[in-house]
Amino acid sequence: MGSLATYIARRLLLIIPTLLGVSILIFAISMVFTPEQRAALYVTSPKAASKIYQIIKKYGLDRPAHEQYFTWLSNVLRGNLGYSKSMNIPVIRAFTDLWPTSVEIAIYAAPFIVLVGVKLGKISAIYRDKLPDHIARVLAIVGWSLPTFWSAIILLAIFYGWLGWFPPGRLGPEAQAIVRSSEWVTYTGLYTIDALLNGNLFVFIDAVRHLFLPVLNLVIVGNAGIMRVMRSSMLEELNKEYVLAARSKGVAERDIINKHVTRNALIPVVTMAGVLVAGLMTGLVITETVFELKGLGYWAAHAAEQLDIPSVLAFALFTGVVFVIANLIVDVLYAYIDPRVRLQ
Amino acid sequence: MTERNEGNIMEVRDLYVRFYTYEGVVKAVDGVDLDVLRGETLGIVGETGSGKSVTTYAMMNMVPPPGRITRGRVVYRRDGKEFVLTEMPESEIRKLRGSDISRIFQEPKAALNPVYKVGDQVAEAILIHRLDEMKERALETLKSERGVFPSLSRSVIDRSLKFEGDPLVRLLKRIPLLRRLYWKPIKREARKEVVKLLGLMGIPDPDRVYDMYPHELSGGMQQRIVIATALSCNPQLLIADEPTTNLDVTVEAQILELMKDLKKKFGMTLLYITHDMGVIAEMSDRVAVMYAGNIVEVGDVITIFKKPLHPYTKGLLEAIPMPGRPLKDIPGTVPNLINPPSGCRFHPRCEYAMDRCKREKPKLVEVEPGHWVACFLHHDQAAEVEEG
Repeated sequence: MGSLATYIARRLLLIIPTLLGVSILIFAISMVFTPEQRAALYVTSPKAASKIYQIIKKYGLDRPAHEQYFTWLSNVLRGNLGYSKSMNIPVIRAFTDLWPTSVEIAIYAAPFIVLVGVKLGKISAIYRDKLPDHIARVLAIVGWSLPTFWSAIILLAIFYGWLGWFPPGRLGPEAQAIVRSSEWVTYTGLYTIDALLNGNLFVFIDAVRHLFLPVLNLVIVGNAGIMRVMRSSMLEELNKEYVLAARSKGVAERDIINKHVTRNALIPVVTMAGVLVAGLMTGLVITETVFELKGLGYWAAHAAEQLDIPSVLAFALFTGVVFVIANLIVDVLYAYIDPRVRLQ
Repeated sequence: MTERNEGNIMEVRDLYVRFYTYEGVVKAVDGVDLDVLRGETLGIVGETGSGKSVTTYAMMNMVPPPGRITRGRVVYRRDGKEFVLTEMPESEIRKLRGSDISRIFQEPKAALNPVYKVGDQVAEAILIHRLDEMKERALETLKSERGVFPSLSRSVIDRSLKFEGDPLVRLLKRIPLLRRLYWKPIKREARKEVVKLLGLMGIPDPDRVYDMYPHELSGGMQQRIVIATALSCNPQLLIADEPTTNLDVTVEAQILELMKDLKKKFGMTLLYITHDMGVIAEMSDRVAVMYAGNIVEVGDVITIFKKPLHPYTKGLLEAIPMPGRPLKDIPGTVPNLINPPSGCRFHPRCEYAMDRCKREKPKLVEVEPGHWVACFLHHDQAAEVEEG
């Protein structure tokens, strides 16, 4: 395992140039805009808008690109991301207000999507061309082809409109009152976790009830990709000679599948899961809109509509960072599963 | 071929194996009869696709899908007991695989799971077939250890030995961390056993090699690991499926030497599959020649090399490159086994082919004691033997 530790250390160091690259790329995109448009990045109140030319001078927005890049980067690092005109608050505040909504959905949806996808893919491969395989594949195809908004609306119609079990939004009115009261301590902004830390079971259950439908919807729509990769990867591995070798040793069929084949089959799934989770963190526009959740996706979509450049750039930066981190996690998991990766 | 029953470790009777592929049904093994005598080295030769490997997979009743045994009997004998592999339930056959009958593969790199340590892969077989033995040894070792954990381990392992399905032990085995109480001492014993075994295979520094992954080892070392796995539970019958085909010549010589040596040490029966006549001459006591899913000739190694009867065997021997002799190959190619030739499957390539060969399939008959051949050219000779 010593080589695994050095691998992780090496991989962590690699993150620095990658992040710099991301920032340069985003800055390069922002250079498409005029100095006036870019000055909006530094306007932090409606009043300051009248002093736009002073801002251009002050931040050197008419200076050469590399100088501008360093001023921009040092501002970003200090959390100064400009003013969001679509939200009427500074970008950094909009961001801190909104990220818990998206991240909460993502961290609950991701494990379920991956688990369901892997399990279905496994069943499908083991019972290839038999009934369980057909059922799993039909489920996956249905999920794959459903438009997210459509299945979300159907789920809402059944479980909220008809049964009244799982309402949209993040919290019910009573729970919201508790969360806004002075006794409530906000630790993370994620209601489920904060509720447990505050020892308030009522808010916790309420938060879970509100999370249930968006998470379920994402699992239905999202697991198909994982399932299909897992299935084909399992089928490929099942044909390998080490399976015969294990069988000739007297290993039980169940152990061959769970111990020998699954671990090898997971290697391509990990890549896919990394991209999927990163996408969940940043790309939930439709889910957030249908379920009346104000998260990052909703904000980014509105900001783009209203040409709110500072918000869009901040969102792009966030997306970049999330993908870099997701890739890091994927690479570490890779090395954990497959010892061959740990060499150089 | 029924008189020698007592001496037979393995009998294959009238074996048919079919592969159900999209292109059609591949008649891979078509009525094979074969005896393996206890203690011998039987070489099976034939071109690629002649059904050598499939026949031996059938001997473990593990023909890989889409293949299936469609007819025939495979009987394994040990201590006067008969195990009919073609009729036993899978769970019972599994107890024989790896312990009584084990297998070495052609490509060691492919036969090893890339994501597990090689030592653990050898230990796996030991932990399946010699679990109780390892438990006993673990108890022995734990006796001399003091402390809470060793004594806890001891009582758990003791319980599991006394009553196999002990509910407490079964529960414990499911709980992470706690299950280490049970497994750790057992695995420690298995590791000792594996390290010993790796040493026996001529692997230098076996304790370090135990923790290596397959990709970190050379082909020769990988094959030694595969052989160690196959020998880990003292098999009676070892099936070696072209174990040296993918190795360098010098490494091949080492592995052949090792196998001969180990055969003596472990006192097992060896079934050696190859297409290399040189290796056959080097390794085997008796030889079975296969062509297109049939056995065409069986005999002891000297007879086969000095007095081959079947035209195919003759062709194989003439195809061995030798200085001062022009290389002669067998005309034509191995037939497509979805639509095999009628009658004798060799007749399209045979220079002695008669009309009868196209219509009828020759039976494998004994032309002289211990020398069997499936060819109409020699059926008269066989009749004489029977009369005389």
